[in-house]
Amino acid sequence: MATNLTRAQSITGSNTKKVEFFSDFLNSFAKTPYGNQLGRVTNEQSVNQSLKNLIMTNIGERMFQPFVGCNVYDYLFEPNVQDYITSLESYIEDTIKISEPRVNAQEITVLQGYDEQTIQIKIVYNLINNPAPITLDFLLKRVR
Amino acid sequence: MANSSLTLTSLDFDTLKQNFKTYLSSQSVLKDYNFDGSNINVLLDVMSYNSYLNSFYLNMVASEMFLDSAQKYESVVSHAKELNYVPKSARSAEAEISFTIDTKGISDPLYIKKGSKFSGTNSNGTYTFTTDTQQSFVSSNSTYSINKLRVYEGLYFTESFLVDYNIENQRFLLSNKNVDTSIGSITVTVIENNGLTSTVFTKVDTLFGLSSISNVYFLQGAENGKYEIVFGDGLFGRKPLNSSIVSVQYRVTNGTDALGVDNFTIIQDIGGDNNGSISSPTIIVDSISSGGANQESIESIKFAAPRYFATQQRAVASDDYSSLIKTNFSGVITDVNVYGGEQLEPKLYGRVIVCLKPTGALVAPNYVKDQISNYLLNYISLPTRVIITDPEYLYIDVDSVVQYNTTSTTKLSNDIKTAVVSSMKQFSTTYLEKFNDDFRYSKFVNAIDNSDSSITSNSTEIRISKRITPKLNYSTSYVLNFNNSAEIEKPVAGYDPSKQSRFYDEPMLESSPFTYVANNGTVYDTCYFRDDNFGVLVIYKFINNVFTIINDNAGSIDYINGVVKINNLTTSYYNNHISIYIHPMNKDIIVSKDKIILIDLTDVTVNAIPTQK
Repeated sequence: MATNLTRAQSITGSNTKKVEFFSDFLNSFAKTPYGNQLGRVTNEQSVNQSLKNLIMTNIGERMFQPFVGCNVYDYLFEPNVQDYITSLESYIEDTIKISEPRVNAQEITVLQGYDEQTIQIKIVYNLINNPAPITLDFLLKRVR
Repeated sequence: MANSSLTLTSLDFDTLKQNFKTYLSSQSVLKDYNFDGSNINVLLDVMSYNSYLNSFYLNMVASEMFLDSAQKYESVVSHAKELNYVPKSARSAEAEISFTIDTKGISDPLYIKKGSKFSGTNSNGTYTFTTDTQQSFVSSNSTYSINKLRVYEGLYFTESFLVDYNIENQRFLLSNKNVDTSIGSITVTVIENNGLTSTVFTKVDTLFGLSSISNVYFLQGAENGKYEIVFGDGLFGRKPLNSSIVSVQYRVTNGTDALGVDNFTIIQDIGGDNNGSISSPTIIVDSISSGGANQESIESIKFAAPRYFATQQRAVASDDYSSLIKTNFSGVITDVNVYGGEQLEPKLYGRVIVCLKPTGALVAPNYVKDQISNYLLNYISLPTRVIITDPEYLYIDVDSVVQYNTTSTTKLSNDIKTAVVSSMKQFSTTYLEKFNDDFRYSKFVNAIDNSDSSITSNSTEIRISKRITPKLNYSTSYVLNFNNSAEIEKPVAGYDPSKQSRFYDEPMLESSPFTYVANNGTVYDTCYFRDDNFGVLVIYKFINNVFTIINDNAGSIDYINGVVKINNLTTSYYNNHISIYIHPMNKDIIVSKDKIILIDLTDVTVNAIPTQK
């Protein structure tokens, strides 16, 4: 049976379809540029998105899921000192252990942003089916 | 075709979500549904939550649609309304009081107006009692004796509504849920023609006999346990004129809280009401407050409404009578038994016997019987067929020896006794004291064993007794039907009762002591009844510790049928009553028709014996 190539595959000449272990739709519900379908992320992008979702979700925010999420928002008005930063790292590590079984967290670092108005979170992990390290780096910043 | 991957049998959140995951497992586009952080998982949460809410909502809607399963008071009342059943309201406790007042400046008659207040106290607090009608009294010497004045717990309130037919579906909702809706406690007056005419409307339950000029109203249950007044539609019952004022006077009560009030003081300024003054009277309580009841519960409505509907506004079958009486006299009457006169001896064909067990008393007062009799007039074709009677009480006399293990309790013998007696009282309340409630011996001894965890066993003997209260120094005969066989000696091989002498065995019938007046006028104190083991009753006493028969033939006992006849008993003294005891053949005591079994704690003897195991 013939396989229909996507437009990207036809341009790049690659007809070896990447194996999808994980797949999810985008936070923004964005459509694909071609085909007018629901946009998706796969494999490490999917996991990255999931990790970010978990960290940005408050505990108790999800209906009937009292243990899903991370207490990052509790630190909003706390002093920007090392004790709290270490505690935040611990929270993030626990969240990943509890809710993201696809990931082996290798290193979690929380840093002050350059203007002291942001928190930079850096997570180095590998997928359970792939030892290659992946780095997820994102900022927490005030919304106004 | 239905999707077989999606099971919808369970309605809890977790199962719903698992069903969605199972469904998604059949596709490969979005694989992350199992991971909490994924967007598809968040979406599943939302969908599951939504499904859960819808399921709950539909379940509630379905549940509230039927009388059997409805849980909200409003729903139950609405379903009951379809059956023409008005939930029983709270009922005022009522009492009878008497007092004498000396007056100054008051000429006949002395009026005690409706709503006159008296204060009464019980263990729950102080309550206000009021009269329900205006009454007048006359006197020749300015001293008025008020005898057996009926007062009802609660205060009267008046609520007014302006009739405005421009308001769509205008309702006349009484704002207090503790209103007493019984006969006479609500007065609905319609004031029309700018106050020129005032008409009292009467309460009806059916459309029967109504016309467009009938001044009637209907009462029906409403939300939050309240009641509303509904007028006729102009065809069945007159509609009040537009812009008229509906004035509803009703009594608001505290229900059962005001039961057992046994002392009263007067609050009302009766002297002032009659343009004079009165002395402060001492109030004698003729009957303590009784008959108060709280608003009917949901469970009670569910039980009563279909049965009330089954009577179809008439009393034909015995259940019709019971249902009508229980519905309208719930606070006053605890139980009713109705049976045909053909079950009596001698038979009374065509008669209906209504036997009443009143609340908080053994015998219903005559005014209650009159009220019930008058109420039934509307539902029966031949009122003279109904005979309202009092129950006959059978008392269980208990002698119990209880053994308890001292190693498993720190309680003393008296504590165990108290626990056992309390348990017996509880047993009487729970399993007896109503018509057709039989006494089951095995349950009774089991209840004794369960009185305390340290009780290891009990040996319990019972007798049944009836109480008589003969008029003193007046010859009276009695026929006492115990409804149960008395114990008789069982014949064994070689046994010939005819060769035995009288009193060869223990008595099967005994009595409490009384003073006997013989035919020749001689008075004998501390006498007793007993049988001679051959069915003849004798009256005896111990004279110098010698068993001496005073009357050799005072009556008879039919051991098989449990019928005792006492002939021409004359007594000059007894303590409260004379108890006639028989030893029953069977330890299960069966009752029927007008019989009710009670355990009176004065008839209970308990001995608690400590043991070491």
